[in-house]
Amino acid sequence: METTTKAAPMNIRVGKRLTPSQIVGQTFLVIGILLFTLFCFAPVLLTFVSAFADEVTITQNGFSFWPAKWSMSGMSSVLRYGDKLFTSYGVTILVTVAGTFIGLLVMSMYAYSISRRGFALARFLSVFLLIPMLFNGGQLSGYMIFTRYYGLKNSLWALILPMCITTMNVIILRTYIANSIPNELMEAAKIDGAGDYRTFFQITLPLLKPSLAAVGFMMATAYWNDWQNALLYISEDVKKPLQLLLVNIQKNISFLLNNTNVPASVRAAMGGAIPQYSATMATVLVVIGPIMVVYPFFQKYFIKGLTVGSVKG
Amino acid sequence: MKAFFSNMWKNRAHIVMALPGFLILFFIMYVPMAGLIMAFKKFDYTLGIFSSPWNGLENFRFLIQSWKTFVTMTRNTVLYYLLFTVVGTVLNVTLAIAIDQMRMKKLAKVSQTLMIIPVFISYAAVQFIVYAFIAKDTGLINKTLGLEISFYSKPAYWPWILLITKIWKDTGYGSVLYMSVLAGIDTSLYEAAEIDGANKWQQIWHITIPSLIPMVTVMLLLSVGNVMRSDTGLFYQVTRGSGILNPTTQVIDSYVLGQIFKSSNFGFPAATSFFQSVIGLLLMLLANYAVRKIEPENALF
Repeated sequence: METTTKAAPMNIRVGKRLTPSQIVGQTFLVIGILLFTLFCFAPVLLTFVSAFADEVTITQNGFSFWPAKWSMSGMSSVLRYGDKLFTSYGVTILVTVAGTFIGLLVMSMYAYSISRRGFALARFLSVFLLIPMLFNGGQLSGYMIFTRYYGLKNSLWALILPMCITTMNVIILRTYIANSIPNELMEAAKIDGAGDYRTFFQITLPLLKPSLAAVGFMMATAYWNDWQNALLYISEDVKKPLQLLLVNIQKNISFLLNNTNVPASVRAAMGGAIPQYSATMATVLVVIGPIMVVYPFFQKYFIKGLTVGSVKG
Repeated sequence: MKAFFSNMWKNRAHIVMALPGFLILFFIMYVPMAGLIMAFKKFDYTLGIFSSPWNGLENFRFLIQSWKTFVTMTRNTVLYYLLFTVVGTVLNVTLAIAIDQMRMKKLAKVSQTLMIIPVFISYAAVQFIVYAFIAKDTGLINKTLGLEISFYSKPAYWPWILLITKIWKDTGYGSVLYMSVLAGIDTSLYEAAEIDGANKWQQIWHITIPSLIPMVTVMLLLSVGNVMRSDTGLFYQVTRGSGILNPTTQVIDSYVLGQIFKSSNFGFPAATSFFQSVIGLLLMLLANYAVRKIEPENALF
């Protein structure tokens, strides 16, 4: 009895009023967090501002958070070389959607199989999944195999396949199946006469949704942001994804900076004028924009997904 | 044997479901492992890896010949790993505790959302943003401070530039994992400490940090297997391929990637890749052994 009466006012104090030293502490904490948030967000803001800044202003005064003159010319020049951008957008969206869909399907089926009790190959398949995490052939060997033996040069499969299965994602899915979906449910479905496939597609897969959302979002951003495979395997204009477009813009800038005596005809062939600051930033904005718009909606899922993944089953 | 086959027949649906994943893993991950033998071959693209003639340890002679390049990039790879891991872990944990301690939960939530954004920006885009800050003529830093430092030709600045870029990109996201651990701490522990008269610092020191230690240990040990691998984009994109910066910015991954486009003699890159994969494997086995000793349930195998 005595302890409850003692604890009650204590709890109220903890919950509501702060001591002076706690107020000071909280103030410093808030200032610190705000400063770090600013550090993280300022570069994103600078990208946004520069995309709408006047080109001459940037050349003369440099990049700034508050340019003397605003302009839509950066944005409109991005839209002007719209054809390329439009194609690249299409390629990136196709690869992202196809890769995420194929990856989720293949990985969840694999995760389901290795989580079945009484399946004699489950152990072997788990080890088979783990080994690539420990040992891999590296970029050079992969490049040679993909281009020389699989003929994947300039194939969109070269962008999709290397990233569609990752060991960690399968572990996340398997952990979720093992810990959060009651096995009795799947047993019951079997007793009611559902086959193995039907049990998976109609019972397991729908219940796996939270985990699929988390893994799917992480996969989608990985596909959206992938420049390395594109750089290695894609050279045809019609198959270039957005990130490769960015890499090429940068290469053109470096090339022109390092070679002052490039003839005008070459400059023209490289896609018109020297890429300009505001236009470049506008392109960056167009490339990173979609993720930033979508991400807040998925935040709770991927935080949950990370948490689940950290607990190995 | 008969039992095995009847088990296979009974689980035929599971075999079929695992098959696509098995095949993709086999062709995408396992075949390139076999491709590592190109380190012991005189590679000829037209013949392919498996038909090229063997040349014993010839390629590793290149490695000795270009010893200085090899040592520089290996040293950079390992040092950046250490720098990023130590600074990254300290900042991730600090940020997680700070956000967890905040009373203004709404503000904490919004800040966290903004802090995570950079992790979703690819390095192909990040390099333009870094450029906006450090460009010689138009960069924000030079303009604001009235300087004219040519960052892209001064190797000495780059460990700092890369570190700051890395912190900016990964810290917000990195703290999420630790925050989920903090959310799981039993609040009655804090209440008891409060009653015993412990102040906030004492609570953090004696309750919060000890409960984070297992997760930190596991994350650190698991990252050991990646000592030889780097965040390629950071080193390949953000430096804009400036060769002058190689002494402080070239790592094994960015070197090999560059060589794929430049080289026709793959002997040296192949030997380097082989070295990278084998050291990675050894360290991973060692790390897993250590995790199994300390936190058995967190070991990978």
